Amino acid sequence: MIMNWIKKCPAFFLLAASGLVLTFIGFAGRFSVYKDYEFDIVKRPYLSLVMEGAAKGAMPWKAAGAVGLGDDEFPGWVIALLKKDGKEGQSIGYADGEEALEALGGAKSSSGMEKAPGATADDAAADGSGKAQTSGVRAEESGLQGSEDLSGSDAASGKEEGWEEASGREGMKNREEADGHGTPDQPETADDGLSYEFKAVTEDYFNDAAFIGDSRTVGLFEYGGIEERADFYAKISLTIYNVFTEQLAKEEGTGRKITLEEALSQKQYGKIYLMLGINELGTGTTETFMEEYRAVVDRIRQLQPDAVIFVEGIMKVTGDKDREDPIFNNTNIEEKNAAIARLADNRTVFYIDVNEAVCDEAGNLNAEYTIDEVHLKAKYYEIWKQFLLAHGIER
Amino acid sequence: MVSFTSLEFLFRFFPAFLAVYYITPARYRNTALLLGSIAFYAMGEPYYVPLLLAAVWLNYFFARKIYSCRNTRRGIKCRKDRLVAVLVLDVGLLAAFKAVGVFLDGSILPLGLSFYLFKMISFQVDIFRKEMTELPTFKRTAVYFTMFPQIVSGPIMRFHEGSFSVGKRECSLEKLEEGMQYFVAGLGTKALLADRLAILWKDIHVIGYESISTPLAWLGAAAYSMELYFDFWGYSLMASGICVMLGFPFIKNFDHPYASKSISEFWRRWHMTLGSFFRDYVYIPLGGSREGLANTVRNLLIVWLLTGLWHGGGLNFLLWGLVLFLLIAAEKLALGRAFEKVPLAGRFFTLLFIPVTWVFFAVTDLGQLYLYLGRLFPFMGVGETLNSSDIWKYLGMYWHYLLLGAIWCIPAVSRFLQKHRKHPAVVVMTVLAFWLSIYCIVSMESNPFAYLKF
Repeated sequence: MIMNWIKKCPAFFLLAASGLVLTFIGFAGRFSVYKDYEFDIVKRPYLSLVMEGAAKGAMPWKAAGAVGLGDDEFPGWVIALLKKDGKEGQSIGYADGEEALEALGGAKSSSGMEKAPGATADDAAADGSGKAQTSGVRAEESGLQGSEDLSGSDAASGKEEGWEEASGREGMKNREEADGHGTPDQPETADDGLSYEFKAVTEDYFNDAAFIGDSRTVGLFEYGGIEERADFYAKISLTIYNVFTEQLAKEEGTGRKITLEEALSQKQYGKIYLMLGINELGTGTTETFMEEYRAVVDRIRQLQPDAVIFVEGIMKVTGDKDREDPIFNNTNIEEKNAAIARLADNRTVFYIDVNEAVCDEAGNLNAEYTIDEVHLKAKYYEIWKQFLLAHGIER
Repeated sequence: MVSFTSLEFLFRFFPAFLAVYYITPARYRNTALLLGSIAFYAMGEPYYVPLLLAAVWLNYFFARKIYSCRNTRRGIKCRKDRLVAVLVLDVGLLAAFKAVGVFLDGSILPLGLSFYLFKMISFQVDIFRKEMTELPTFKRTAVYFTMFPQIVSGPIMRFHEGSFSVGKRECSLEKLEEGMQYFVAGLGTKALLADRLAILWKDIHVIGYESISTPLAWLGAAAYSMELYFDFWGYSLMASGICVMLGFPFIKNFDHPYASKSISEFWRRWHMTLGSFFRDYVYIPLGGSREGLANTVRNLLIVWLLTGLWHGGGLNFLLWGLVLFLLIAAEKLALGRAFEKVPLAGRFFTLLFIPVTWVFFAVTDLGQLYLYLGRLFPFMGVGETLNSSDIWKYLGMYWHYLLLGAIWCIPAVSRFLQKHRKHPAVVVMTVLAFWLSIYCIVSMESNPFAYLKF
């Protein structure tokens, strides 16, 4: 009878068979790789866990203990997971799970952005990069393309060797500081009273500027009218967690896709603008976010010692969105912005908040300026540009 | 749940129903289908089940009345009165809900109302016209009205097209396989193409129509044209695929419309069951094209205004119907003959203007519609291009979906696959397309931010 089935409806049979296999994997993974996923057996089949895992970069074979992947896109949360398993002495097939993971983490952290390992921080990192992975699904298709447009056009080359050494040392130093107490490198105000004030500048100001950000900054690139002057390292769904590892630019001449890390080490800028944070709202806490944010700012300063760094407050959403959305709302944005603002020392790091220009009286993104309640309509990026022009720093 | 692309339907309701249906002895299968359909409807909108059942019962009641006086002395008059009564009921119900939907609350429209009422209307008229020689049993009629593959969005099958007597129904492994392949083709068309192209259309919306370049405006119109087609064609393939699996014939609702040589032909090949409904129950009863030019034009106008209203209550839908009326009338009066001589001109005309008509359909706000049309036709002097290279960005992001979509619009491609559907390569493609679609559905569902990435 089964032969009859296979002969008469091969597609039906293959579907049923592959469905069973996927169901088995999903069921088995329910107790390991997929155990943190929301799941309702009444509404969804087990095999949907496999699909969800694949979308988030959690392949079943990764869970099966394939630690020696050498995969530089190894998602942080898998590391965390393996680590947990290793600790519990489960089927990881590794005598010293910790060390292996350190090695993995180390390989990945050539950017200097890797977190110091620690149980709680890891969980946060797990969330963070798991998330990044998720939102990366479409970014693969679209964001990357978009980023091709955003090539840093004047990238110089040939400095790589030099900085790697330097950054190695710097990285060490940085780590010491981070491991030390508080943040001695982030004074609230300058000790010697030497600080600077915002003043109006002309568009020439952007000639040696670089903009780093998510889709909002992509919009500024496309419609702000400064794309000829400044370099943009922006991509849809970019987060503070993957800002240094995503390929955001194209190298001049070779056309090779490079990361922000590489781009910033090839060319020196006078100003760096950074707006990130809305994609991360559903991830971790303000503390874990700021830990990463601070590390990013530190790394930028190492790479760009002479640049003025503008940390931009996250642009808010409209009042309607604010009321309806449990995650992407202005309460969460304000909390993050307050924390970002504390990074400013008003000597090398300055906080600017475009919300002053684009929000209505109630402090929500002006509904007239947007269609989707999150992004400015093309013609209103001019407001953002004018705001930036009114907030120049000249030292 | 009522969406064929939801996991609940794909992995819970449908497999369970299919198993029950096949296990059930043949003569009880209509009962199984009726109960299954009511359960399906109840899972979608339980509070409208009584309305559905009342409509079914009332329509059967009237159908029997019409049928019963078919051979009496004053048969015609009697049948006509009763037909008018039931049509007033059906059309009135539809009009009342549509009006409430337009003026008060759009969400109040019962699930599938216009589709099941259209089936009922065609059923009554067919009985009245004696196109049905016998009155079907209540159960068969109820199955016809409520069957779950068709109740949400059609196709609007006619009673005689279905095999409602179980004896004539052909349930076999071959049918199961064939229907499943149609279903997967539809699922892939929807999940892998329509849902992707929808993001492009949304992206353009976010920019603000007043700022897009003219090339991007045309790309958007083309992308929306494909999205709408793949969405509805995909749905129709899934619905008809389910019907085939249940032993019914395949009901064709789309016949590669974008390969048409005129706009009139396009509309004979797009949503065919709706088009033929309006032709058989509105246009021809009004006199069709047989009573002189003036009447023909009037009848066309009526049909297209009704078509517009049927799709939505907004003014843009009326405008949409009017534009189609103008284009089709122009073809009837003059252009049609030219297109017959130079088919290439007809194809060009169709591919150029159908996307423009879809813009009327897509953009419900009249101010926005004006802006979009202004960008399509820059001589109108509306808006301003803010980034003249914007089209390259979106072409870069979506070229593969656009290319695949264009290929999938070519009739020969799907005909080839259909012809060789038993070939192992096509079988494997079917299975892969299914799992890829499920992957896309799950990753969108489990990650509600897929559409909302900043």
